[in-house]
Amino acid sequence: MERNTTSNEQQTGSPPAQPTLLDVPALAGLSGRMRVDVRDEPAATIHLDHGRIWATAPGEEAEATAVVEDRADFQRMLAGELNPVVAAIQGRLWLHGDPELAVRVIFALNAARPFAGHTVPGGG
Amino acid sequence: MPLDTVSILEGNTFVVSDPRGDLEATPTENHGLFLNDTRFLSRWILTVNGIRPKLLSTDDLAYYKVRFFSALTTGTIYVDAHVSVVRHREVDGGFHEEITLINHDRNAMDLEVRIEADADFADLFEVKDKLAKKGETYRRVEDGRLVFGYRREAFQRETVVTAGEPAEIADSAFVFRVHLPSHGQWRTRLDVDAVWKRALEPAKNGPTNGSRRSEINLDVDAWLHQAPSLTSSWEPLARIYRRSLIDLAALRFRTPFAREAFPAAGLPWFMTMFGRDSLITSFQALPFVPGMAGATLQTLAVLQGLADDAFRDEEPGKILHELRFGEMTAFEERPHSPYYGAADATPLFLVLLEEYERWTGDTALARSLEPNVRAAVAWIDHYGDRDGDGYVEYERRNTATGLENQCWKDSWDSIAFRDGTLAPTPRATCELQGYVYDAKRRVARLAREVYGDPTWAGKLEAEAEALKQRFNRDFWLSDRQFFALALDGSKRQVDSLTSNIGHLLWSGIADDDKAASCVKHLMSDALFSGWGVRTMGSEEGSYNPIGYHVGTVWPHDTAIVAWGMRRYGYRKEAAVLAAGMLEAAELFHERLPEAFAGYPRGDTHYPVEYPTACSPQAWATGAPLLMIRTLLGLDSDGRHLIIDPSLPPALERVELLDIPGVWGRMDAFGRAREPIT
Repeated sequence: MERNTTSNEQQTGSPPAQPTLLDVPALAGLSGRMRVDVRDEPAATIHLDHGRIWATAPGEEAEATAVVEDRADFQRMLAGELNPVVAAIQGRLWLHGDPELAVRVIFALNAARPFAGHTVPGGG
Repeated sequence: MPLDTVSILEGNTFVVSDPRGDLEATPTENHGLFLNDTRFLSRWILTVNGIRPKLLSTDDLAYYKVRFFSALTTGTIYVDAHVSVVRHREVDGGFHEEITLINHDRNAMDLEVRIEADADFADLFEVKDKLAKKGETYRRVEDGRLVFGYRREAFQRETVVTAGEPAEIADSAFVFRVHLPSHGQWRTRLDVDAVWKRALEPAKNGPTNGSRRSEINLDVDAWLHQAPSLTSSWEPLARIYRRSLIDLAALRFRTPFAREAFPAAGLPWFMTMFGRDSLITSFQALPFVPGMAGATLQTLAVLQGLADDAFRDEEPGKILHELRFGEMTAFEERPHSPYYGAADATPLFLVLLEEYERWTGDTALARSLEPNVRAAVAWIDHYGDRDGDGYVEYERRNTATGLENQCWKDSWDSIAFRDGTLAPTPRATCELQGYVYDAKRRVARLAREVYGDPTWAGKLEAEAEALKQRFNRDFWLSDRQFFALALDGSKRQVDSLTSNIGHLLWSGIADDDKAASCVKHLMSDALFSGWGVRTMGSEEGSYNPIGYHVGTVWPHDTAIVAWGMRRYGYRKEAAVLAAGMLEAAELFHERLPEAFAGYPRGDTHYPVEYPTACSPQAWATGAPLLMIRTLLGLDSDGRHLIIDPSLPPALERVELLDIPGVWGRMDAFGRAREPIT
């Protein structure tokens, strides 16, 4: 599902020189931003632009927000060790905003693991 | 569902009670308030002065609300009851109940009204399989509310019960001391809210103050209004049609994972997202409420498989089988997060998308799903055909809790040889190959007309044609003159006669001469019961008229067979099947169950319900819609509505007005050629 990103790319929203290209054909047309909050404190923004993905510090509008209770849970999702639906049912993950974008981004992170081993800042 | 229960539902919230309105869950009675696959209330019993009021009648007001009329009796027919008890219940993220007591006596009276409650927080899988719980339950009274809770690590659920009138809370009960003047009445409201733990957010969004009710009413009215209107000289048909539309509205289900409402599979066990069921139901309903297909396609695309995960039988590009939200899924004791153990959902996703685009002209959706379409086709070729023999076959990778059979007949004993021996896995069932053939031809059209990729279109068409030739050679049972149910793990033909051969007609994979022979078998006494097509022929080794997939009649199955017969020009036979099933629907009070017994029609005056069948069930609800489409011969060529009626004599006249599609709105009229005798 293609979405328009804002034309006014903010400083933190510009893609880095070499954003990670996700090898996930079903996400090829997807663009959008999802903020990650750890215990309601913004921690990062994940950008997806036609299959390219990168993370920045939070601080701009996003179509969806993923809230985790524990930073370690998010690290486990990034590493493919914690299934997002399992996390949601257990009460470890809460999604707000555009559900479709949130689910697709979080499943892409979980399956393709572009940020496995990275540290999510913020929170407790 | 047994007849001694009353169910109301909305989306994936439902309440199953006894006819008085009481909930009393036991190992044999699956009563309860269920939401997101969890039983939030397992006990809810009303007594007045220690007596359970005697039921007078149950008024099924709408799918989401019910009224129970009872009286406080003295146990003898010689003394009139002097107190009426009315319970009005509506489901909504839990339920609301209004209890009214009316004193018909000349004297005032003092009564003790008591509601006993309890919650076991059973996962539906635990209810179904009689399993024990692993976490801790608790109970507390808080600000005049009674709170039941369950905790297992971070997983926490609560049920909060609030009374509108002052009450004592004693143990697990609300106790009201009521003074009723002569001919006076007393009323209270009780709210039962199901809560997912995170600062106790309601499990379901939206206010619970009653305003949502009118929205639902409007929603149903709009739903009915947007569907075509139907009239027929055979009066039950309009009632069956209306019941189907209302039940489809009731089964719509919202998840946190999608924007649109989506058809859940069926009450009580399958009130969740099923790939196959939702796709078939949306296909059946397409000419009537096409928006449902769009929602189904979008939602399934969001959860299309990305990972290679043996526990969930997930592979990249695969369309899900089943999504659950209960405790056993949360702790990965079951793989439904989501579970991908269906080999047919992926080609059926492609079939529905092409049908939807051709019917509605919604190229935007088809275009937006192009990456999903390509991923689905890649799954068919790479993971679906796991051994590279040119056929899609399945074998579960999750051997502990995965499904042994990943076709629509998914019970363990459904794929058997004529002598009753089970076929070894992996199994390539015949209808799977038909779906793949159809899907590739349909995607070829989209590739050419929507995606601008004629090269891919040509490749897909060539692959489909090669599959058809291969299939008609390898699956044909020359001695029995029909297609094998499957090829087993050793590529042997599984030689039972089953309804699956009818699906091949829908897909168009059967050569014309072979289709003719299959139609004869489908209309034979072995398969056609008089009401519908049996899942398995009555002369096969595994046949059992009350076996879930080895002899019962499934309405959706018969509807697909009838539609397939139309494709090959067998109009009369299709009309006979449609008439039989619609007559069965009339006898089931306009609501076809998931399945019913395969006894010959001549042996029973009424079709016999399968003991644990789900009702309403989405694709049984959709079956009359596909039957109506079959009778009127409705199709789309991408621009115009094609109408080619063929009615059985009993239906004489059918009119369907304002059929939505790429043409706007059109009417269809059908008349039987022979008069009613």
